[in-house]
Order: sequence, then C-alpha cells, then structure tokens
Amino acid sequence: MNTVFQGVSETLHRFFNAALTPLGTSAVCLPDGTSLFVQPSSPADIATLPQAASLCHRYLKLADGDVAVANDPYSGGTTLSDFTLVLGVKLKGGAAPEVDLLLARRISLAPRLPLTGKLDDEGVRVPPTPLGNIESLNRDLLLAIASHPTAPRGLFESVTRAIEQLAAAAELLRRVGRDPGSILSSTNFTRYLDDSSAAFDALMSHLPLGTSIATRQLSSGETLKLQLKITESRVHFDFAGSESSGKIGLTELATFGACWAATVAASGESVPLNAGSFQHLLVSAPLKTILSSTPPTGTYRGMTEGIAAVARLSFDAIAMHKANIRAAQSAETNGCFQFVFDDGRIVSLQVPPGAGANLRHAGIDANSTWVPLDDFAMSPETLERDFPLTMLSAGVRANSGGQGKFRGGHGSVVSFQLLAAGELRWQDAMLGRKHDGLESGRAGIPGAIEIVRASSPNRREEITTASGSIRLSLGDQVYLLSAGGGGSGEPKSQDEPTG
Amino acid sequence: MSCELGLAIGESFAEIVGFSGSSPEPVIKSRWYLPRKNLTEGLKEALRALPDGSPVRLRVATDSVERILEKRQGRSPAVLTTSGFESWLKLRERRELPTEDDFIFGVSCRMGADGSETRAVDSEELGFLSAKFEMLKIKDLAVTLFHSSVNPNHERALAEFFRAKGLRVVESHLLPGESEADRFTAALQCAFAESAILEEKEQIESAVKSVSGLQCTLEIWTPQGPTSWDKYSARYVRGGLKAALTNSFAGREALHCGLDVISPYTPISPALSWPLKPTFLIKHGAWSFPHISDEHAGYAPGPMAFGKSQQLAALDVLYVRDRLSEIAGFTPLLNEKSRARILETIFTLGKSASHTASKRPPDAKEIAADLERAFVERLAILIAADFQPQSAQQQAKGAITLTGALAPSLVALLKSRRRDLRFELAPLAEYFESAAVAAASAKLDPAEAHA
Repeated sequence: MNTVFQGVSETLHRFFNAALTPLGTSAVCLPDGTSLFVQPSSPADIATLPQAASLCHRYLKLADGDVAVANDPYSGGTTLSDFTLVLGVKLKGGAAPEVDLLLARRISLAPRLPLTGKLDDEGVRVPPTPLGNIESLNRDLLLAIASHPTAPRGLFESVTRAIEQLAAAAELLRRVGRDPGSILSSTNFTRYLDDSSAAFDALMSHLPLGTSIATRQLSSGETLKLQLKITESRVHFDFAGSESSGKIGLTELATFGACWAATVAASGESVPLNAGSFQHLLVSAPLKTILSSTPPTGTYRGMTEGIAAVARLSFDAIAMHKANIRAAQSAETNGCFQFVFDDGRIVSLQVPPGAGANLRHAGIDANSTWVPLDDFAMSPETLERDFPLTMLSAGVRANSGGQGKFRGGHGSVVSFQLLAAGELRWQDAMLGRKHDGLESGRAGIPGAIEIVRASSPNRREEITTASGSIRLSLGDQVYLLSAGGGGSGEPKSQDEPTG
Repeated sequence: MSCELGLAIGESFAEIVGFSGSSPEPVIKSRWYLPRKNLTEGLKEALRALPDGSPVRLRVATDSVERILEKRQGRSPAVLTTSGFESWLKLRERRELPTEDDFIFGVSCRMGADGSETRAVDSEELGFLSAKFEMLKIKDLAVTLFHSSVNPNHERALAEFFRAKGLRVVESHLLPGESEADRFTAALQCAFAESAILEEKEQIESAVKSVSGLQCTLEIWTPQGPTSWDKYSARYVRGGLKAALTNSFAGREALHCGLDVISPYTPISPALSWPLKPTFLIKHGAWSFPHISDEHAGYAPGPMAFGKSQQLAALDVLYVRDRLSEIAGFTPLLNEKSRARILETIFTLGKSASHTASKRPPDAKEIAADLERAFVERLAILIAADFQPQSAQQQAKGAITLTGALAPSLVALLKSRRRDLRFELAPLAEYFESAAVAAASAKLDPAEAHA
C-alpha cells in the first residue's frame, strides 16, 4: 500500500480551481508571495497578482481576515482602473497570528479616457493600503479613495461587493483547512509546486529547441526586439534592444506573464499557473524599455495593446521553429469605448475583434486572443434602462473575417441611438488597421467607428483614428465595429466577396 | 389502503419505491438499467407487483432536461429574438447554443425599457416566418424578446400566433432569471428539451394504462414541489429530481451518493461548485499521475466494468477495489472478466503519465488505491465545505446522512477518512442496499479501518 497520496496535486489543483472560479481574476499565495494557483483574465495578471499579494502582506502584515487594496502598477498592479484586494487567511485555529494563505482578487473598472500616456492622468494611484478586518471594514477610507475625482465610477460598490465574495472564498478555504486530514497542508503545497514544475518540464518536450530573433512594431512606432532561446529545461526571453516609450508601459512582471502565456499557447498543453511552473521561464526586460517601464509612464496601453504585442511576438518567435502553430493576424485587443452623457453618466463598452485563423482552424468570432473579455457582457436591457439610449444591435459583425481555406474570426458590432447628447471617447490602436491573412488567406475587414447623425441620416461618418473624442446629439446613431481576423490558406473561389 | 409511490428517472437507471399506509417497509422497490429495460417496461413490472385494488399516487421526479442539454439529445428549436441581436446570446454565453445559428430569427417588434411599445408586431413578418418554419420542419419555438419581463405582450402575441400554427412555444418572460441572458437561455433550453420530455411523459402514461385495474393519480416534481401531471414539460420538470431528493432532507445534513452524481443536499451551500460523478473518466494530463477528469463516460456503453467500454471511469477503480458489490439493479451488470483489463489500463495510464524516469512506477493496484483515495478526498472536501457542525455538542447529536445507490459502498470509506464525523445511511438506501452495507464494511482494508 502506498503511503504517499500521488494524486494530491491534481486534487489540490481542482479544489483551488473550484474555490476561485466565482472570484474571476484571483490567486492563492503563500505568505511569502509564492503563488500556488493563479486564475488570470489577461497575461498581465499572471505574475502581477502574486506580487501584489506579496507586497501587501510584506508592508501591512495582514492577519486572518485583514484586507488590503492596491492598484499601483509599479507595486504589482496592472492599470489604475484594476484594483487588487488581498485577504489574509488562517486555515486552522491557534493563537499564532501568522496567516497560512493570501487570497487575492482583481476587479476591473472602466478606465479614464482619453489617455495621455502619463500615469497620473489614468486615475487615482493606490499603494498597498489597509482596509481593516473583514468584520470591521474601514469604509471611510474606501469612500475617500472612491471619491477622488480620478477614481473609476462605482469603485466603492464594486470593492465592497468583491470583498464579500473574497470573504466567502476565504471561509471555504478555512472550512476545508479545518478538516483534520485536509489536503491544505504545507507538505502538500510543496508537492503541488514540485509537480507543477514537473508538468512544465513535460510541456517543454512540445517546444522546439533553438534560438530565434523576432521584432514587432507597435502602433505608436516603437520597436520590440526579442531573442528567444529554448533549451531542454528553460525558455529564455531576452528583450535587449527594445525601445523605450513615454506612452506605452509594461512592468517586468506583466511582460513575464505575456511570455508565459505565449509559451503555453505554443505548446498546446495546459499546465498549472504557479511558482512551480514559472521557474522554467527567464525573462530579461531591460529597465526603462517598454517592457519594464518606470513612473510616470502610463500603463493602460501597455497592459492592453502592449501585452498583446509581447505575447504575439513571443508566440511568433516560437513559431519560427514550429511552423504548424502559425496563425493569421488579428487585432489582439478589445477597443475601449465610452459615452459620456451631458448629465455625467458614463457607458463603457468593449467590442472584441475576430481572431486570426491558423493552419487547421477558423478564427474565433469576437474573441481577442491575448486579452479576452470575460464575456460579451453588455446587457441591452440594463443599458436601455439605465441610460438614455436605444440599442440597435449587438453581435457578430457579419463577413468581417478574412476569407481563406480557414476563415478569420468575424469581429463584432455594438450600435445604439442616443436619446440625449454627450461625448463619445475611445482608445483603440487597431482601428482602421488591416489584419493580414496567412498563406494566401485574405485580410480581415478593419475596425471603425461609424456615426449617422440625425441631422444627415443618409450619410455615414467613418472614424479610424486610434483615440479621440467626438460630440454627439440626440438622435445620432453610433456603430462600433471591431476588426475581423485574417484568414488562412487560399480561399475557394466562391468564398471571395463579390462586392 | 392507498399506496404512495416515488419514481426517480436518472441518466441510466430508474428507481421506484412505494409505501402503503404507515408501514415503514416498502411494498415495492425496484431499480433497473434503462438501456436494457426501458422506462415503460420497468415501470409496468413494478406496478404489477402492487397489491390489487389499492388506489395509488405516483410522483415522478426526473433530471432528463439536464441530461438532454448536457448530451445535446434534444431537437433544435427555432428562436425569435429582437432584430439586431440574433448572435448576441451566443457571444454573451460563449458556448454553443442548443440550436443552429440559422434557426435564430430577428423580429422587428420592440418594447422600451419602461414597457412601452416602440414598434408593434408585424403580422406580415410573422406570416413569412411561419412559412419558413414549415419549410424547415420546425416543431419547437423559443420566443426571447428584450424587456419581456416588463411587458410580455409581444411575446404572448407571437406565442399565440405560432401555437395556432401547431408549434410548441416557450416564452422567455415565464422563466426565471436575473437578466435577459438567463431568461433567453432558459427558454431556448426548454424548447430544445421539450419533445424528449413529452416522450418520457407518454412512456409513463403508457405503463400506467397497461396495468389493468390500477387507479393511479400521477403527479410531477418541480423545483417548487409536486404538482399536477399536466405540467409535465421541460419548463416545469427541470430541477425536479433534485427538489424531490432534497425535500426529504430539508434542514438535515445529507450527501447524495447516486450512480449519476454525488452532491450535498444542504440548502445553503458555500460557493464550491465541484461536481463529482462516479462515471468521471480517469485520464492522464499535465500531472505525473492519472487523475479523475471532469469528463464522464455515462452508462452506455458504461464503465469498463460493464465489459464493453474502453474508457476507464472512477467506478472501475471502485470495482477493482471491491467496493461495488450488492448494489440492487447495478451489481448484476458488472462483468468479472473485465477486472484484469481494468488493472491493465490503470497500469498503462500510470506509465504514460509518469514524467520522472527515476521514480519506480507504481503497480496497478497501488495506482488504483491512490485513485480511490483521490475520489474519497474529493468527497471529503465536499463534506468539509458543506457540512459544518457549529459545536462539538451539535456534532455529537447530528450525523451526515448518505443516500443513493453508492451510499453503502462509500459510507465505509468516508468513515475511515473523517473519523471526527458520524455518517449514517438514509432508510431508503438501507431498503435498497441492505446487503451492500455489510459487504462494503467487510471489504474495507484493515489498514484503512484503523487508520
């Protein structure tokens, strides 16, 4: 009879997955910041969430039930509209004050548009800040942060709701931790990390050995340069030679996340996201380049457009030695659009683009590859109830994916008619850009904003600049159209568009 | 004296139990494997065993809607939705809907957020759609319009029009949901399952009619409780089986260990959504050890222990660990010859999953023991997450009741894993599996029993 429970890592992994699923973007870490389980929404979250948890605990010495909040991108955050909440969890009773686990959760709120590239213009910056114990939350402090003029709307309500959900997840961990034979033990955590490392080792066999060099230009003109070296046990991403930017900034940990996501995607395997598997990746991101920027560089564009560019560059560098994983181009990130009514109400909308096809499959409709939306979350009923507008359409933008043997994913469309005047603001570096096909596949149709003014209903104004704002009046119609992904392979002749 | 009967229809097994008067002993009890004996035949046999002349009330609980959706065994309905939003639900849900993209049609009528009509129903448009449905041989229809929960008049008008054309129609405003996405999805799912559910209803009616002299009142379980037979439709019966099972254990700590699914009954559960099915497949993935996946084999052709399948399921592990004897209606299906093949498959999986060459690869029996432990560990986590006696005193008083066909087999394993808690079998499990209780206890490894 075996004395060691071999399946403990898998059981732990699935338990963490089940416990954290209701939280969305979240992580479980040891008090020293070692990540046990990370559930990201974007590659930017992968390494930054554990870092945020670690820094909060290091500075604030969280006890059981203590909560901290932070959003500073240079202290483990991503953008100033993403707030990380960290909760200390003690699994078993006893007098010792030390917590056993840190539970982190990140909530995303609407960013401030338009963006200047300066961090201070992107919102209120919150370093690791104690919010007290879950039983007696410091609501005054939270209200003070939320009432800052550059804080995202709905911050107080969103944070308090998120803390309630975090508390429920923590209680679940405690309940399972109190089981006398619980799998939540330090021995099992060590084994889980070791097994995760072994799982990544096994994944390495699906990657091509060798060195490759790749470059990519961002929409703002800066160049990213990557030298990739894959050995039997490690993947080394060296970004020496990449340029700096005053407008687009990533942190080194966000860059790490993009490299990790690209590596795993290229392998086609699935491995646990934690410190065990992270140790196989080495990322060199020279300080003050786009990939490891410093204040006061803003991070919104870096954590959206930048992160997608790094992930795609890394993926393409691996694909140089593994041709069968190549994919056609796609817009990679969701455009961000806001409509600010004259009474101050703000509607935020995201319009996901279509994914590029690869050599075996069509691209997915309305699905950005690297920075996915949780879902096509907008509710037409809620929008019409809460704002002076009538929704005209929401769904797939027909025929926008590039033709090919495998079609590019179609983009999406959201359109509405205004019942009150206001200003449309947007940030979408991919507007007006074509996304090429692969191996004779055709390009997808570019993204655009189209306006039909009530004063001239037969004319459509098309906007394709990357960011900006425009005044609109009652009765005007707005069409937000995201780009289609490129197709792959020569299309059959009847697939070609006739118009 | 009148008889009270309960019929539970699961994925591959149906169970019926009946009591007469105040006697605690059942007058009939039967469990049968549906791929071998269909619902009508099994029910007929059970009903014929009833004492002659007694009036009978038969309450039926089914989870067929859930199964039809999971296995996509229904019939694609047409969907009418607000024009401009034909693909919205699919993007919102990020999964395949239970219908074809080409079966979703936009209609121009529109309600405002305050329930005022902004565009009326266009009868010409409905006529065109009706002709289209006829051409596509559509039988079921889901009507899903924005703001129908505020003003359902358009949905009602459309439903009335198409019912008159002979279609079965589900209106989204009649279904619960916090958002339009919830309502629309529910309507679509009900329309998808409707034809199969009505077929199931007919099978039960046919069995009842075939037993001469039987005075039978039929009722169906819904999430709100038992109700009249005419409500036997996907809209009402969904969630009925769970409601029927939970009803017996309201306010008590109970864990259902059925052949199809294992889940706690607690009404207020913390946020742990972690289903466990005995037919979950054993696979190898990223880990250096085979694991219990979330993909399940079902019972047709069933686990390897039934002798036909090539896919190893958690039940096979319990079988080679001798935990499955004497389960009424189930044990006779087990094929003794499959035992060697199961062990061989376990060994192969163990070998292919092992990443580290230096480790001694465990033998099949060791792997089986660990897989069983992984299964029990998941049960232990469910129990730890859901059952929390507030004090030692309460703990001493209360016990966790186990129900379902696998309860006798699992209770012994759980007792050895959670010696701080008390477990007991529900009376019904004892009626069915009295022999299994003894068998399962006797077969527990001495090491485990004293662990």
